[in-house]
Amino acid sequence: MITARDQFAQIAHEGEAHYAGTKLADGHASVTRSVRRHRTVRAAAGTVAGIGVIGGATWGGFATFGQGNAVAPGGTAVGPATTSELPSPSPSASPSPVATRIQDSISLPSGTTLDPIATRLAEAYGVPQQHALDAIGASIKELIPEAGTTEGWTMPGTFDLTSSPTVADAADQLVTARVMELTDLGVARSDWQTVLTKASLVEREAPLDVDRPKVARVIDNRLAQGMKLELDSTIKYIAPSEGIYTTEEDRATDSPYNTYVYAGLPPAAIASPSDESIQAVLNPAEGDWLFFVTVNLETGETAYASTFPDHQRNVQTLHEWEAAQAPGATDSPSNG
Amino acid sequence: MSTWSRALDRLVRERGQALFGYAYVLTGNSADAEDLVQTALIRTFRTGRASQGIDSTHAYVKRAITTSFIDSRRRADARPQRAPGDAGDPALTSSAPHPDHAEAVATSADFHTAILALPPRERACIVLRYLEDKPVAVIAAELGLATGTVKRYLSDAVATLRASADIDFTTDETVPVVSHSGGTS
Repeated sequence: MITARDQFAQIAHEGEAHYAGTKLADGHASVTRSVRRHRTVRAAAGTVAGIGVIGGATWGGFATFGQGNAVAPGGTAVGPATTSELPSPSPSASPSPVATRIQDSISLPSGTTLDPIATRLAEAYGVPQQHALDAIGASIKELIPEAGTTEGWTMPGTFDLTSSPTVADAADQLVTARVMELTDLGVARSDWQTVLTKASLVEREAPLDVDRPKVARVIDNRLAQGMKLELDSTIKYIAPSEGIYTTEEDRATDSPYNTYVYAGLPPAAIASPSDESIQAVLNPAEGDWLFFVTVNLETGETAYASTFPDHQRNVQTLHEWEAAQAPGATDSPSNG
Repeated sequence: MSTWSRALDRLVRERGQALFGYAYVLTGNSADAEDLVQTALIRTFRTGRASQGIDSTHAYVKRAITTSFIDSRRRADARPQRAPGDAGDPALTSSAPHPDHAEAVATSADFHTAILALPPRERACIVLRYLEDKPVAVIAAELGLATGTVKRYLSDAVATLRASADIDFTTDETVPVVSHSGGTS
């Protein structure tokens, strides 16, 4: 009679015969990458994330003021939007392992979509942008499998790339910094997407640090009352356009990101938020405001209101400010 | 190249085939076996347990294969259930859809089919006991089960498999709950 052990050994032997046909026999780069991601997260606690956070603050503020086009009524703060990408890009393909690093560091502004971030990352490694998108997507899929989209999960700031030989390693750095930020701030994992989404709204609506906790409060108050958020930044995300105003047509776009049409938060983040915006969402200012509008496009001064008539007066202040500007003023937006 | 990635390279190069064969016994197909090995490798190396030499790492990965196998089946169980025997039931590969069918199956393929029809925990226990030759107490510790539970799984699995194949289930270590009526020694 055959013994059970012989039988099992024979099956194992048959199985081993199939081994040559598996991908594992050809290479285990995907295992190595995955292990490195997990190790990066653990090793990064407190150090790499700290650099990312501080860098994010510096660069975010810098970029905002440098562009000088940041503030708008309804709180829209938009640079030239460059993306039309709504769904998550496919995180499947493996990034090219042969790419060589061109830059020693990378600086990523806050408040942008993934598209320009991937462009910069691709430039740093001399690879096609799609490779950078795939690498970031793979990192997010691995580290935050529950993420709604890939938007917002990379950390802004300045990153040292000298210990990241490939674009996949660099992508891990960017995503790891975000994971560590949320972990260090004590955000429950189940809240990560919500916090990130809110923070991305704050990021796009409030370029000045002083306004972030107040805008976060307005978002919370409107959500609590079941009001639509009606934030132009979400319109700019689905219908990128130059300037700071949105058209009626754009505001009628049927998209879950359109906060003029649908109540509640958009399904995922609309930009990469700075650490300041995340903190503002976690600690919003006290107040019963439901409206805000920037009344001085030069200083970015923003006025808050808890009633619509008050808000209308604030809007009037903005119009008066605009009228007071000389027609040739460089930064004056054209009223669409 | 870091220490862990050198260790990983060496392990996959020298032991990849054996680990795959072990996973194949549990899963019954190459694709699932490959996934299982990958998951186990990641679990092993991401936590720094891989620094004690290739043999202990090998043993650890094997253990991770077993626990990952049970975990993955448990997750699959949490999804909408298939009725046993429905099309697509992973446990039912070909000729032996019911574990208690009485035909004599002698080839290892049929024996494997019978094994694959066992519930995941019974399957893991019986592979550890009869392929890996591990004592019941060790199996219990590795799977985080009570020894009594392991014995029950083994006894149920052996009863099921006996019904489907003429196999000798005796081992060097006597397992009290297994009756020896079919044994030769």
